[in-house]
Amino acid sequence: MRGRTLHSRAVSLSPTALARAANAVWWVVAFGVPLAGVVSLAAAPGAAVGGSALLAVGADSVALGAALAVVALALAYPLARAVSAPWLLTCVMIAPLARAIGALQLGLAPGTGAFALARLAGDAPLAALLLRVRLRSRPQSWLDAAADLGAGPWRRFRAIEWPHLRPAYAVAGALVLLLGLGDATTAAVAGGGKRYTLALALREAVLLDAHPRRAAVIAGMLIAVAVPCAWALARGLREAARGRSGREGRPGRAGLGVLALCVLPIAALIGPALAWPWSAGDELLLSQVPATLASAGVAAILGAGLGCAAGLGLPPRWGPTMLLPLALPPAVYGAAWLTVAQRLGWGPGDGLTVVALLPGQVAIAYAGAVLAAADAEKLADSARDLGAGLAARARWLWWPLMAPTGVALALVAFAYAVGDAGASAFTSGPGGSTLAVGLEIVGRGGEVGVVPRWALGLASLPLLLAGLAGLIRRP
Amino acid sequence: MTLALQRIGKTYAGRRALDDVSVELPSSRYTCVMGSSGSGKTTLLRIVAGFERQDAGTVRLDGEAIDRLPAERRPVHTLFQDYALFPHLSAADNVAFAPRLLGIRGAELGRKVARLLADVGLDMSKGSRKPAALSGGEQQRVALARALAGEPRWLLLDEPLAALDRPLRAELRRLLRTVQRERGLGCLHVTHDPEEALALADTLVVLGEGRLLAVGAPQALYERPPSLTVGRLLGELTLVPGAAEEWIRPEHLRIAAGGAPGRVRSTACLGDRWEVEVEVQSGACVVRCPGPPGCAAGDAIGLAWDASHVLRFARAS
Repeated sequence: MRGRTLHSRAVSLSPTALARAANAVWWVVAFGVPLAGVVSLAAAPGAAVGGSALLAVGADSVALGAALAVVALALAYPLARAVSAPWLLTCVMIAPLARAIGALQLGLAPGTGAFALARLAGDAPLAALLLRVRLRSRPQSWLDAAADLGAGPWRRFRAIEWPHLRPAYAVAGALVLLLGLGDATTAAVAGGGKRYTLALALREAVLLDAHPRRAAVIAGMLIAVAVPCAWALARGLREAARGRSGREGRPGRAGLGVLALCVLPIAALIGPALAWPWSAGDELLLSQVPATLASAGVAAILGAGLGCAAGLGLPPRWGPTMLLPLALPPAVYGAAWLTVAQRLGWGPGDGLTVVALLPGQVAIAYAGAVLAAADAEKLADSARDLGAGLAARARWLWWPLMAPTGVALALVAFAYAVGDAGASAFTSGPGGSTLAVGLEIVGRGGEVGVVPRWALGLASLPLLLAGLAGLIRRP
Repeated sequence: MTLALQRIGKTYAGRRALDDVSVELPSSRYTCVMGSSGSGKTTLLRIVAGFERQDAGTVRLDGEAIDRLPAERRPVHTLFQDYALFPHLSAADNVAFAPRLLGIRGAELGRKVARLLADVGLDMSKGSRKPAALSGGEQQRVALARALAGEPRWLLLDEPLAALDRPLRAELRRLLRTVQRERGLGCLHVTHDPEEALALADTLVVLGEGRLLAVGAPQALYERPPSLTVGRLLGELTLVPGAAEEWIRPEHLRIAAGGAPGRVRSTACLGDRWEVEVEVQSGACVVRCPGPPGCAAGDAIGLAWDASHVLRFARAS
């Protein structure tokens, strides 16, 4: 008994101090600096903000985001019944930039249609993925009982399946709306100047118009939407992680048509990507690959590590705080971090990109870890009961159990970071030091053949990573 | 190592799960905590284990408060209802988990694991298997060996036999009793099954709606329950024929000519005993007899009983 007490005491002190230090760093990186950046933007001198124009952009952005969310949710159910979670995740991981370029390659004119297709190709799989998590705890016995009592498919859906899925629909709706409002890349490329989102307006206020006060107001609007959504996301995540005793229904086929719609923009890239000869634009983008992979790799490894540790170690009341970066558009982090870094004399570049991407990466990994570890709470109790302190639990329980999940989450974060042009448009500096930002710039410069090729490359990355994850998981 | 629970209170979302529960449990004894669903028995166990923190009161081991000790530093181990075996470790590695944390390694660890597995009736050939490759009974034995491996002063058991079939349950019940006796362990066993509680317990603690209803020797509580609620929790009670507020255990009623008149509604064989439902003047009552009752539905019979077995409770109970 004495040996056990001494052993546990020796390992339990330093992790607490480490956790406190990590907590402090998290608050600074995820909230302190961005808030300071927004305040700094607001305090800068400049012309009047133009409130009515901003409100019009905001209202237009919300209306379009809401409409797309409704369509995405409608498409999500058949998609969730037809397509397995790894494939849905692969679709979600495809960079918005690649989908936007693909939508234009289909021959659609830049504007609302191309924007909507590019967004839906990612939003519908995302909503379907969230529904699918919920479908795992489908109350099959209730559905059987309803069928036994004579309820038809529609009545069973309305009376049993819909109430069960409602939390997932709410989370998916909130997330899709947030992503729509916060997407600058798709609006810039597929919108072609005819379709604005709040995030694109923020990007233009900082990078084109040099209007910091307007940028601060837009960032404030996005934060005001994000805070309640983060709370709803945390609640939804807890719901989704709970009650897994159900059984998935038989797969449906109707969703395969929706899947085809989602991959259509990517399929449209294949022809031009292969036909166009190698050019100087390719060389330019190729030169940006090492730095992109390095910064994305660092952000992904750090993000997955911290997010998994937080997901396993923090109590549920931390959920909203941990998920807020998922609700805040990357553009807000990019703009805020750029502003603060400039004040501190830290120039744009890969380091700043990593820091601006990190909160989002941590939030993604946190959400994944919470979902994956929901069943393991009993095991943690059991290990504690047998005398395992924090370090021993990490070594003997969490590491072997969660390593594959951690690797998968790191790969998701990596794909997200490689394809990001939302935060890195601000932090990578003039000319763009990351592949996605460089691709956007090259595209605007008229290198029409280069763009589909590299967009296809970006879109293929999740597929490669999914294959890699599959190989790692294989015993 | 005496386990004392002093004025323990716990509230979940405005509902009192435990309300001022105080009880002192002597070391090296088998204590069963009984109660219906939602009576607070599992909450009590989790508070002792350190998984939950009580809102009020103190848990003491040998007079020393352990409230501030985290679960991993308490000298108690738990046998969970669903076993909670680590799925990535073999049975032997599960058993070796706590000894490894105590710094035991190599041949000494191997010997200890083999001995523990043997103590619970498993041989080392099962040691290399993962939990998923073991039957429910084998998993339960591995979980018991794992809990014993950390040499706890108290073993906490959270309905450990609930998921097992009847013959296996009886077998493991005897194993638990043997292990407790041989090791001189204190055991705190939560169950809702009166048969299990009565068979295992030296001391029986009965909870109801978060309150302590009774503490005592199981046979005494069975024969003379302090309240109707406790009496019903420990076994069936039936009204005494012709009396409105007097109760008796069904096995204390017997069919006898010249007794209180009644008519048989039904008879049923329960395997080792028979049950007869009888309509009497004051309603219906149940008779349990060791062999075939010698009557059939519709027969007129007489019922007799020994007045010393009649139970009367205050109205509030």
